[in-house]
Amino acid sequence: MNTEADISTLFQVIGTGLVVTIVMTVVSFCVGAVIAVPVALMRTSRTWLVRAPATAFIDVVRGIPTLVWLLIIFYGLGNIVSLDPLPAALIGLTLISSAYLAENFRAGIENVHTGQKEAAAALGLSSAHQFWRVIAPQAVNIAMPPSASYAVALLKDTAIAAIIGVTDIIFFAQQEVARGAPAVTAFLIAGGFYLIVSVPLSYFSRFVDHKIREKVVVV
Amino acid sequence: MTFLENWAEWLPHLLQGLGTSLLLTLCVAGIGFPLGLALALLSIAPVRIVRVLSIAFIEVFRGIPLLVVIFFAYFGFPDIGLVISAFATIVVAHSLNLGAYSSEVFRAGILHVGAGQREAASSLGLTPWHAFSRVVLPQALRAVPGPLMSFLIMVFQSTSLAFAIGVGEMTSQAFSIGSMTFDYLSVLVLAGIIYAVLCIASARIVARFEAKMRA
Repeated sequence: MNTEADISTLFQVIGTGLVVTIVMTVVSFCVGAVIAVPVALMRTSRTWLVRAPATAFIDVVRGIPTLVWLLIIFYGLGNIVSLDPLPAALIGLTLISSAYLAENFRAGIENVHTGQKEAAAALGLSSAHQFWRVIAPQAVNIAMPPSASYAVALLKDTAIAAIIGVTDIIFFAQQEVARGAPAVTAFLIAGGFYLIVSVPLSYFSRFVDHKIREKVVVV
Repeated sequence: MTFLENWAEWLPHLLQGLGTSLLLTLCVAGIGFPLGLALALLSIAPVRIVRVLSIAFIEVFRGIPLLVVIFFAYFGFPDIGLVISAFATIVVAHSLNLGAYSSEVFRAGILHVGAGQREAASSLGLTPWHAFSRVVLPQALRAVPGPLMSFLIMVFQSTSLAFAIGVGEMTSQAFSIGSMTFDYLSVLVLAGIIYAVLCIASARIVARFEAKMRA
């Protein structure tokens, strides 16, 4: 079981999981980013009653390991609504990415220099205008680099979904090993597939970081 | 209120699992952090090949999921004649992962110490090794405790992955109780609460510590 033909089959089988891995990463990142916007806005509110639920959401979601979330959603809620592994994983990963991204967005909003807000107010902009035209565009710049590197972390986190049976890269590697494929080869191939995606992604995130450092002065 | 009675019954099992989770965290930190410092030193070594190899090592381990490393070690090691317990497998796999991640923090700390410090040390007649170990390193290590504590919280959370190869830490304990009672939800939620309380509390402590360091 170590001939070239076997290794190329191994490549093909494990490679079929690549699409699922990428879909999980992209969907949970994008939907998470959409949810993160209102959460971050609430989190930076001056009213305690608005801020507290957002803080609690971020802290609790990030305080529980990814695997525990996936087990709660897949097995725990399984008694109430039975979900397939993939939707369960998507819900869990989206929940987690929304909390992490909300925290990045919050840091972005809070790190825009107060002078900017004061200047906008002095120019007579309404508070909605101050936020959307002055604060938000600069906050996005500050939040971008950590969010890009979070995408890499999220990609790696999707591997945990294999434990609840999502047919991603590592799931197929494990399945082939159970069928008698050599474990060292199978998991090296699996690791290689993750690197194919994660290395360019982390170079991209560093590129974003450099670009933005040239553009804004982070206080 | 039946679920509260159940929780009281399950709590000792979960706390026992928590003990294993914390022990894993300690072992991983004990090996992973020194490894991270070593990798940081190698990645700025004067010899090019050493630098290239250590940076490649760091990039690879930062680029692949921890679970892949764990499975590689768990299923792959016996194939190459290396038989260790599941607990040891987790410690090895996780330490490699933590070493790669924490090396960036150590490296940033070392590079942050200004060239002026190095020059001052060498103009005082200190040998390069003395300049490094007595002047640069102590200053570099002053910047790392905050980020390393955050890593520790991440490590604690990731010890839940030991579930995948059957080490009896807290997540595994919760899951096996769930599989006996078929009430996965309440026991997993209880475990989740324990994780969340510990992580939120330690994150607060880290934040306070970092604020104090900055002041």
